[in-house]
Amino acid sequence: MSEIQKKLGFSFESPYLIAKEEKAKGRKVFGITPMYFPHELVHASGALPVILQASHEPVTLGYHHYFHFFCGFTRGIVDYAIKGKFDFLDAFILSDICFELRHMGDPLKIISTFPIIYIQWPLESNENRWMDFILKRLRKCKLSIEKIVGNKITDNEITKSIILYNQNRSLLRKIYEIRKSRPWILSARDMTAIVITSMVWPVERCNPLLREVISYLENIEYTEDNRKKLLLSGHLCHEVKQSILDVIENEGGVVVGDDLYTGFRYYSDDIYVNDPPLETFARHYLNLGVPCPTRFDANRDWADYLIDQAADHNADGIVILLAKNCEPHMIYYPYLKSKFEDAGIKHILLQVEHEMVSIEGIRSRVQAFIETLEMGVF
Amino acid sequence: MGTAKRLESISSIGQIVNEFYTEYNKSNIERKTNCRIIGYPLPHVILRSHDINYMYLPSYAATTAARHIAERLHQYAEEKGLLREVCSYVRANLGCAYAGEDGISELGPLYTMPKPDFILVTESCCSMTINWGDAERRIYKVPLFITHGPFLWDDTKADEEDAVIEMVRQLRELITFLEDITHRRFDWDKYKQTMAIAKETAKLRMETMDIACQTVPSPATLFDWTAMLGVVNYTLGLPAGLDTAARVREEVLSRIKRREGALSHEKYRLYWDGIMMWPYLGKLSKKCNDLNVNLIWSRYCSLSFWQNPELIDIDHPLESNARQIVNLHFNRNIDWLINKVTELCQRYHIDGMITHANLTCRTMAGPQLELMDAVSRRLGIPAVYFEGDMADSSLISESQLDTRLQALLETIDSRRNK
Repeated sequence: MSEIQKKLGFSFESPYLIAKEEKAKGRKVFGITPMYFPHELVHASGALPVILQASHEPVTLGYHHYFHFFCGFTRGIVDYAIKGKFDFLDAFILSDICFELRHMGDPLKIISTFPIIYIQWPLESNENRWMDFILKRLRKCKLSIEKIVGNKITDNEITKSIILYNQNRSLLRKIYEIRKSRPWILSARDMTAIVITSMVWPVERCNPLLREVISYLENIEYTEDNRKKLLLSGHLCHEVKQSILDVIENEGGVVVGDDLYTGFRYYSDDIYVNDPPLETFARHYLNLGVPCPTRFDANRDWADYLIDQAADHNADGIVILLAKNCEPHMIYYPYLKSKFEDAGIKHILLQVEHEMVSIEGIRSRVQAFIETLEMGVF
Repeated sequence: MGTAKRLESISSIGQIVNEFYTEYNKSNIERKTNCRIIGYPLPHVILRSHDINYMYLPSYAATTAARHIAERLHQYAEEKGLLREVCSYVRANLGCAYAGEDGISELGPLYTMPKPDFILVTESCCSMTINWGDAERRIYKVPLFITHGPFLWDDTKADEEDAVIEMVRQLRELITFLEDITHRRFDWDKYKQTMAIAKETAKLRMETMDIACQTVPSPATLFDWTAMLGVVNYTLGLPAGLDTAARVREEVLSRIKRREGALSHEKYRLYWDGIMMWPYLGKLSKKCNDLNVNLIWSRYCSLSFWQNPELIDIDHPLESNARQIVNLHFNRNIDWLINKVTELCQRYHIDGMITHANLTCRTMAGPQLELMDAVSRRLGIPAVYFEGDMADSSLISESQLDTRLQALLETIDSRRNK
């Protein structure tokens, strides 16, 4: 275990350990599906919001209820549910931003023992058209949460929660900036651990730890090396396998930035507190810091964003990590490819599966990519 | 070896489809506004009323697959970087768009569609349709307009009425969008007239299917009903569509009167779950005939494509349009779906269920395992699934279909003999 993970006390293998401890103390625990539900709303109720993580187990019993050609994340969640591994949850918030997440609800509705709160989000970034659509659903969602926890959620409590989570996001961005300027001191694996800790732990407990991590990173002695600077992109909804991140950084690359969900996408911008809370959440959803392929946004272009980020991070290339069967990402890819080629940005596509296929195959491809970057040819 | 007699009245659909694409291809020459539609065939009547040519992309993909020309489109899309796990309808259409973008014309008339003036997505339980529309928008560099079908997770009456109000709001925005893009006022009277024809057509389609599916032996097969989807997709709101639907009804009633089944010997009546395998229509039909299997109905044909004509009120056309999408099976939760499929399997005297797990249509596949399990238990009928695809012939496993279909029939036999 790395120094950072020791400081956090976080383990990838048991992300819900602290949630279970909180549950044992009498706190209600809500599992939330990725990527954009405002967990502040749950936190303000007194319950612990936990963003559900990818299963690390092979899917077995889940296949009785869900086909193998759905994304690994949703298959893993169904599998966990059928095995009773979500029994510590008091409620499950199904935040519908993609049909695979929605259909995960079909078996869950039948097999789960916990209540499911469903919320549908519009897939267009356009405040004029979709504010009321979201507000109506958030109000209903708030009522459902109140019913489960047994008390009202006040605007004042929501504001306090937003402030706490804004601190969390701000601390994560500080760490991101440190990595951007000194990528040699913080591995992609550790960066992921830091972000997931923020997703699954009580924010009050997490924020002081992040301050300790920042202090540690700011004082660490380091030497630069000549590994190629890489930007990681994609991998919506869940973490990239640690072994793949290790391969990328052990074979001549070093990660200087990302737009991953268990990365910059999660904490890219704050939620403002100057509007009524539910409107603030709706506006935040409709104005994401990082463009998202799950939705239509006439004013922002993910490819342009990534090209700018590559320049801003002084990256030598982009590694696109695509979770197999993630349809929004798959459909966007030809456009990314074409724009990167036009802009002279070097990239590689790695399609990643829930079941590990061959880490050696990925290693060979990463090695080849790094070699082409080193040789300056493509 | 059994044989099947397809409905003659529906055979004109091939010609209707050819004429449709010939006309659509003239859009730019004739300077007619034209658009691409993705999602539920909701806006056909609105667009027709506003004199806008449209190309309904799921139908286009099905047509190219059934005519065995989708492979080249898929190949073209994959050469551009689209992965094979992507919906095969998307691959066919983006292949067509890329081919047009690169000026490939030697592939034939169905490969080169005119550049649209805008893209319209009527999303209903398939978020991917928005990603697809967005990709078309980036290729053609034209505006995209979307509507979202509210999903009824709780299925309460209040939620249903809220969903109708929401859809009416979105459809009003659509009409404003159309007025803006065409610089013409929307003709509400024409909309009502077109809706009246659409209602009669949809009513005939639904009633005819219902009567035929109840009758033993059935005078028609699922292959007839899938062909009849062309009436909705290509001619809804036109007298020609109404005329075809009326002729189909007449032929079906005539067969019923003569006690004439579509199959020479209808031994097994099956429910089919999933989209039809368009490149495999002929083979599947022959396979079923040989085994004396009649595929009676599917939710794809019977719970979609303007499935609730009784909810159409000509004086309230927007609300009527909205009710079609709100009552679409895709927008209903798993409990509603199980109840509905159970009810209709009973009504149609179904012996067993065969589920086509569409490898690249996760929207259709999502509830399939729960649906199969629940309906099978409730009715005490056997069910099997096999993997295939609606438009990618390389993903269809014939041997898997053969063995599972055989196993299903043997189970039905053994239960009958008990």
